[in-house]
Amino acid sequence: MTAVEIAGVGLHPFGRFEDQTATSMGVTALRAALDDAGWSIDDARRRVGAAFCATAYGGVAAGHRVLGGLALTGIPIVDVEAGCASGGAALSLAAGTIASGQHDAAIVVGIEKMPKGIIRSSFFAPWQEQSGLAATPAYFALRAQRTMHDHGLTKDDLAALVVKNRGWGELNPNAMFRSAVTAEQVLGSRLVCEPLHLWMLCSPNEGAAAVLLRRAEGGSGAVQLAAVALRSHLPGHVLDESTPMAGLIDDGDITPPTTLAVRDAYEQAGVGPDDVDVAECQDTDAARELLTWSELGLCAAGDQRSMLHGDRGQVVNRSGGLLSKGEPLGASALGQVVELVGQLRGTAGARQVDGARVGLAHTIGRGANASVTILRR
Amino acid sequence: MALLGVGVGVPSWRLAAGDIATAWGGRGGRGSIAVCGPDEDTLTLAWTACDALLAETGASPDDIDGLWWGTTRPPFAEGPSWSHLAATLRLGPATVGAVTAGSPHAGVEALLAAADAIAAGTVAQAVVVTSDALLPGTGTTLEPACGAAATAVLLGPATDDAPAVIGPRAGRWMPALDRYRGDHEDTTRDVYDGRLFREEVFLPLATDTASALGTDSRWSLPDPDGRLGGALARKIGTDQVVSADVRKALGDTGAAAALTGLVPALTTPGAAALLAFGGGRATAVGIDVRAAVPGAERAVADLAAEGTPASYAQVLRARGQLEPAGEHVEMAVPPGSAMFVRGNAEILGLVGGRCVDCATVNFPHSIHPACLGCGGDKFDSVPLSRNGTVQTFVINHAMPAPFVAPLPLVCVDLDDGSRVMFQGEGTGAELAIGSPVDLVLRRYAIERGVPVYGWKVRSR
Repeated sequence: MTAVEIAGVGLHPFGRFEDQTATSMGVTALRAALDDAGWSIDDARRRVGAAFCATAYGGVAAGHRVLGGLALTGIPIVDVEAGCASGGAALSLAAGTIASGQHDAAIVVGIEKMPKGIIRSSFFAPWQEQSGLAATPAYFALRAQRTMHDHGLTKDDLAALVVKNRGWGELNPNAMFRSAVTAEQVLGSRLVCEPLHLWMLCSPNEGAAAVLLRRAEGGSGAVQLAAVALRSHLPGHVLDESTPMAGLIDDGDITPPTTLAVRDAYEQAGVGPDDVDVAECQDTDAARELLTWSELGLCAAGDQRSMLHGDRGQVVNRSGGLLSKGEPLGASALGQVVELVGQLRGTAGARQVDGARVGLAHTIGRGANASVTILRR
Repeated sequence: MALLGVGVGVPSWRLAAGDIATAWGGRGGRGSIAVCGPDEDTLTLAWTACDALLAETGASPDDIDGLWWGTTRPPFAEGPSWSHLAATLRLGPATVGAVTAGSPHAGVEALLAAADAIAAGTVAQAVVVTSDALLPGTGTTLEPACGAAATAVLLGPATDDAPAVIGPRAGRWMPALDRYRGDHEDTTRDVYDGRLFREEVFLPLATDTASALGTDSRWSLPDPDGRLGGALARKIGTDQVVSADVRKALGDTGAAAALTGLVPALTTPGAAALLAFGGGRATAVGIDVRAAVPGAERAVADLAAEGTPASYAQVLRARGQLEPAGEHVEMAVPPGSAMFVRGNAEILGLVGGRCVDCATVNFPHSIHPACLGCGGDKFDSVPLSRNGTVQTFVINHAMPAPFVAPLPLVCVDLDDGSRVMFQGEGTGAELAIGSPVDLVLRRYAIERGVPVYGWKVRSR
């Protein structure tokens, strides 16, 4: 298998941009990635063999519109949708074309412009929607309630997690929410679905991210794509974003999709959880990040509180996480890669984890699809 | 015909009559009325009464082959009201019966139709349920009197040891307007002239009917406005109006009034009678109570339950008489689509499909033809338990229309080992992981004008 490395990354800030379309944000991010790589449009035309565009709301042939904006059409362009893991899925497919020797380089771009307010998901069956069982944030809260019960966590811990992420978000110019918050403010924010308050939930929003992958050139000093893995939930696993609400089975012994994905990724990269210097992980809600820590092996189940209040917790979501950035579905996983590339290059400024050499990015969402990406330098 | 048991259903809300008077600039307004919350209607009340009846008598749905239901407000003005109720009670596929409607007289019509079917031998054992949730026009004179409740009784052939027996009946009619609602109208209009109605319609017709029954007994009397009942009692010369306390606690319960008012008389032996009035008709029925009727003590207690105070604005919103401005986003698929129809009997009857290969219970399995646990396609139909414990839950404070927040959603481990998810009743304040809960029938929503029903989790 041919090794894959990251030639360049680019980002359009995450937030709300009434003067931008998903396409224009994608063009901005992709141009930034080419600039970061030092590639001209002609270089890209000569070397890039395929493009994958992650989006859930982008509409028909969304990737063609982005590539067309930079006159880069002509190559295969495929849109990829896998819920919150869409970006990880696109990255995985693009990396595969290089690792297999099919292409020399590939473009991965994620774009999104989501409607405001509660997501009306098309994931559930019509009868579930009709029965009021399909309201989106409820699913996060059902899992959060159980996570708190099983892992000995309280709403104060969820608030502390938000304080941590929003503290780093204050230092991220590309984040949607750029102010630090206190636990009192978090617990005082509007109750959306007990136990989750508004500020414990990430905001669906808009943005774009792009990653330019190429065959590893050896000695380039570029960040290496050490692993990218994508897994979905096993039948019967219920307390995840897949919750099917019917025929539910006890999921105590069923391995969650995040753990399935991270096992694959650790094996591909030849590292373990203790080797991870910096991580970006899915914080759809505050309890989700805390559950993810144990699913990734960053701490033992039930040890989240001590990790949260120690130094180790501070290496997760240095970007501010989705709680600060918001979550533009197709772009969020690639946004994590952009952040980690900065961390591994040592260019993350005030958010820098000193000497970071191994970075891990994680997403989980509808499906339940989980993606784990490991970068190394 | 033997009356073998009784059960009642009372809605959760109480509305002070004074709140209505205040809104319309009127004076006073005494007492309070029982009104439906947003997830209750004549179907859920009828189910509650029948559920209590079956629990108290120990009768099995398999032994019941007749269902008669009297109400002025069938949940579907034209549609599957009867079959919805039959499904939620898990009655057999050959069960017969009818919905009687059209006026508050409908309750006694259901009772007598069932009694006649048993007398004729066409039905062995019948459930009769009368339920109502009156929907008056806003600001009408009758509005502060319009209540809601349901009473169900179990009828069978007369035997020597029957706790109560249905006796003689008498009826009179005249083609006079009492209350009125046209086919194109949602709400009921006022009596056209209070004095004329009292002196020339109600009192003569009701008095004649009571006299024709010729009994000196404990009476359940109609009282549409809170005064007519007292006037009627004086006319027929009785001081044994057993319906007075129920009327005071709940208001006029329409088609359910006659049987509901009789409930206190079913706790002790003695002669009793009910009188139903409406639609230009009056009918009186004598009941010989020989022993305390199973379920009567619980029914009396249920009727006296205090309920949750609600504001006039809350009640108007629950009745659909106060609607939010702005866009209503309809669901992706209308209620008449195959995706709902195929699983409706299972959803209403709480019937799961147990996979013959891995024993996972799929619900509703007609909509999910492959087992979620193993992909198998062979199932045994199993009625699910209505008791369980909370696996996890959420109190949703943001729900898209037509749902109303706060709305609990609860994942329940049922006592039969299945795990299913439902809405929760009320605010869900008593829910906790591991706590015991029961399932009750409630209305989930009205989507595109169609009421949608399902089971809700209630803390035990």
